[in-house]
Amino acid sequence: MMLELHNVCIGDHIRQLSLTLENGQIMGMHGTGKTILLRAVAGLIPIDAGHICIDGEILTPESAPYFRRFMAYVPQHLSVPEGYQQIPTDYLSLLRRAVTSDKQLLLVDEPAAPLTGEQLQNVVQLLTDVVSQGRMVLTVTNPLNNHYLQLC
Amino acid sequence: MLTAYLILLAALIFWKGHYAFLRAINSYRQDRLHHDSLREYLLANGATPWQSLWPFYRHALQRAFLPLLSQWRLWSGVLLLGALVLLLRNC
Repeated sequence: MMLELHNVCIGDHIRQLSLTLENGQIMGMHGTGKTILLRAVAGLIPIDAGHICIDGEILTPESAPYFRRFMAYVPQHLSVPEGYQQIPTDYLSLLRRAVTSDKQLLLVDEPAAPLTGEQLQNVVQLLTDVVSQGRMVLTVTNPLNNHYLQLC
Repeated sequence: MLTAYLILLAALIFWKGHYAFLRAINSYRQDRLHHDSLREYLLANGATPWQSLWPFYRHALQRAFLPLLSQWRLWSGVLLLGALVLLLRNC
C-alpha cells in the first residue's frame, strides 16, 4: 500500500503539502493542521486543492468508504454517549484496538492529555510492532517524533 | 363508552408519543453536538454511515421509550380500564 499527498491545501492550515508513505514506514509530523490532515486522509473532511492517492487511486468522498476499510484511526480523544460501552475511550486502548485490527494504514493522532513515560513507551512499542509487520503509520504525536525517526 | 375510551387512549398515546419524540430528537441533537467524535471514529475505522450513527439512534430511542416503560402503573391502569369497558359493553 502507498499513500501519496500531492500539493494538498486545506483552509489556512495546510498549504501545498506533499508526502509519500509506503508499507513499513512511519511518519511523524509537527506544525499546525495535523489533526485536520489526518481527518482529510481518512476522508472525513474535503481538501481544497491537490489530491490524496492511496495505491494510485485518488481519494474522493465517493471512494473514501472503500479506502477506510484499510485504515485504522486513533483520534485525540473519544467522547461517547451515556451508557455506550462498546468502545474504550482512553487513548492507549484505542491505539491497541487499531494495532490489533490488522489494517494496513494507521492514522494516529496525538493524545489530548500528556502521556506518562510508561505510556509513551507503550505507544512506541505498539507502533514499532506495527512498522515491523510491514504496515504504515501516519502519526502526529509530537513528543514521539524523535522515537519515530529512529524507527524509520 | 368504548368510543370515549378509545378517544382517551388515542389522546394518551399521542401525548406520551409527542414527548417521547421530543426526548428522542433532543437526545440525538445533544449527542451529535457533544459526542460527534464517536461518529467520526466509527466512520474512519470502516463503519458505514448508518453504523456510525447507530449508537446515537439507539441512545435516542432509549431516552425516548425507557421513561414510558417506567410508567407501568399508568399503562396497567389504561389496560384495566379498557378491560372494564369491554366487560361492561358485553354485559
